[in-house]
Order: sequence, then structure tokens, then C-alpha cells
Amino acid sequence: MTDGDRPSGPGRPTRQSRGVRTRQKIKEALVWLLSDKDYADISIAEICRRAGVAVGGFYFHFERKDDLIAEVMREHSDAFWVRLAAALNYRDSYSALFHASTAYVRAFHDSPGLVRCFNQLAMIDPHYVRYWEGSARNWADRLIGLIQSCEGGGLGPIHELTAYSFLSFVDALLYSLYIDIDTPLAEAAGPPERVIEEIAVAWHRGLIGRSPPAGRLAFAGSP
Amino acid sequence: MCDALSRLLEDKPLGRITITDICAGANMTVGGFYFHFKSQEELLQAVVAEHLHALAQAWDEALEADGMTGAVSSLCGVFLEAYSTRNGVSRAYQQLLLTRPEYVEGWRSLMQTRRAQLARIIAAERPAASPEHALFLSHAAITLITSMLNVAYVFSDKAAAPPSKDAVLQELRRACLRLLGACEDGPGAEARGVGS
Repeated sequence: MTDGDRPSGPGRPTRQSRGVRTRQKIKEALVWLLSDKDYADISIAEICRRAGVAVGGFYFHFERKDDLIAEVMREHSDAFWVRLAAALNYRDSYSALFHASTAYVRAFHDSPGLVRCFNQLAMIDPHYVRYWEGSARNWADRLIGLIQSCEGGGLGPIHELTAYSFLSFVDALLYSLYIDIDTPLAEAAGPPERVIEEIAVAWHRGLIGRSPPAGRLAFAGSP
Repeated sequence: MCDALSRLLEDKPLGRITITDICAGANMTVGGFYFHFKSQEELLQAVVAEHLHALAQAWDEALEADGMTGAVSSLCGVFLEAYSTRNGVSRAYQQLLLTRPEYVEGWRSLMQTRRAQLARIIAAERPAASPEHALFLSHAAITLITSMLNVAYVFSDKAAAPPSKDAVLQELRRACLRLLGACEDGPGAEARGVGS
């Protein structure tokens, strides 16, 4: 807050960068609170307390709590889709699927509060769903394109239903593993590294029709 | 009245159905409604219970089929039937699962025993797999079936032409069997196909 804000040269005015930091602190405070509580149960006062900011300061940056959550959600989904898009830069199918699986598992495992919040908001506000579905379809189409070019002519057409469903499938699976935890399943699935591989293998089999080359797999016992 | 609610759900989302609608559909008075059910919620619970009971029975029958391929194929058929013929109720149920934890409990208890049984069937044909892995595969297969059917029947635009049941069934079977490392042509075919 009043830590030394020494511009290292002809930089921006102190007040402006302090404003940016305050905004950031508020967002981080909400994210922290979401790991334990539902969005609906978090008050502006709590957020401000956690952020070390006056309530007036909150209202300087955000008109309402909803504006704050919208910004937080947008940033996190954008970051997620960037990571997922990066997976498509790999030039072989399994690598792409593996990195997509990693992005998914990391998001659910590291920030379950945010994912849960997103799902709750999607219930009330159709904008969230539409935005997500748009990105999802787009990405699935590009994935199909990548797989078909990697696998060559040998692969028949990938059914649209299967490709679009796989994202929903991964979502549901990870939800039961990290958010609304299904205990016997979580115990059977093992650590995140293993889950990442299981999902990538499942994805590979479902879309391509065979297991990835055995040499690529770290965990034995994926028959 | 359960039938009336089920019929109404084919056309209207749950949130927009009123007791008056239900009574009109069941040819009953509002007083008559309250004689049988304390609230609309109670009627909904009854409809869901009916839906799940039918699903559970069909699921158990499917698991008696021959071998993993037979069981999984039958299971695909069972779920497809539930989603396509009781589409309104399925949609409402999916919505409930997303918003009401008490309904999730019901689904979990129905699903978990049958998932374990499917895991045993899978393990029998995949002796190299650990029991944990078989359980994971079983859960994955069930989740894939429900995900694909959600995409085909629940999240899709009702106005858009619904895909043909046969086409959906075929794709459902194909995707599930591939997921389990089986081939529609029977066990062992996958092993021949694995290359690199």
C-alpha cells in the first residue's frame, strides 16, 4: 500500500501504479476467498479486509461485486484458453492431447474454487455458457483438423459429436475428481500426473481409435 | 400427475411449469394436487425417482450381457433410450444435478454400485489392468456416455433437427469401446491395430 513506490526513472505517476496494484489485490483477495466459499456468500467487506483496502477503494475500481467477478472470470478463462490453444502447436496428436489434458487438470486441481464459481455463474448467466461454448467448439474444430493432418489419410472422419463431447467429458471427470469429489474415484485415479496421462490416453483412443505409442506413456498398466 | 409433469417437461423448462399446468394436464383440481403432494418439489422428486428406477433396472439388465463389449453396447442403448424417449425429464434432471446437491447424492448412490460392477466386467477382460484402473475406465465410460448424450440431446438447440437415434447409438458405442481399448469387432482386435 504505502510501500516504497519508487519509479525507477521517468515512469508513470505513483498514484496510477498504486491503483493498478490495488485492483490486482482486490482480484487476488476474491480468488483466495473463492477457494473456501461460494461467490454468493462472499461480501465486499470481506474482500476488502483480505485485500487490505478500504471499501471506498473497492468502489473506485468496481461498481458492483458482479463487475469484479466478471473480470476475474474473464481473465482466468482467457488464460485457460490460451494454454489450451498452445497445445495445438504440437505437431503430433498425443502431444497436443497431453498438453490439453495438462491445461485442464492444472486448472481444476490448482483453482477448484474458480472452476466451481464459474459453473455456479453459468447457471444464472447464460453469457458465461455462450462464451465458453463458442471457445470450446472453436478449439474442438482446430483439434480435429490437427489430428487429421497428423494421422494422415488413414483416419476416417472424426464424428463431430464425439469431438465436442470430449471437452464435456473431461470437464465432468475432473469435476468429480477435484470439485464435487467422488472419493472412490479420486482414490483410484491417483495423483494429478497420472490423471493427466489417463485423460490424454482416453482422448487419444476415443478420437483416433488406438492407444498412443507405449513408449510415450509414463504409467504402466494402461492396457 | 407424474405423467402430466413428464409430458409438460418435453416442452417447457422446469422453472416455467406451474401447479395449474400440471393439474390441467392431469385433469385434476389444485386441491386434488395438494391431497397427493405437499408441493411441486415433492412431485418432481417422484418423477425423478420414477426415471431413475427405470434407468437402474435397465442398467442392471445391460450388465448381464455377454462380456465387456456386450455390456457396454447394451449400456449405450439403455442411456440413449432414457435420453431420447424421456427427453424432457432428462433435461430437467441434468439441470437438477447441476444445481441441487441432494439430487447428486441420489445419482451417486445409483451409479457407484453399477460402476463397480462394470469395473469388474472390464477387469475380467483386461487382466493386466489394476482394479483402480478398471474403476477409472468404468467411470470414464459412463461419463463419456452421459456427456455425449448431453451434447446430443440436452445442450443442443431443441429447434435444430435432432440427430438420428441410430447414428447416435453407433457413435456412442464406437467412442466407448475405443475408450476401453476394445474394438467393435470384438476383443483382441485392438492389439492387432496398435502400431506406432
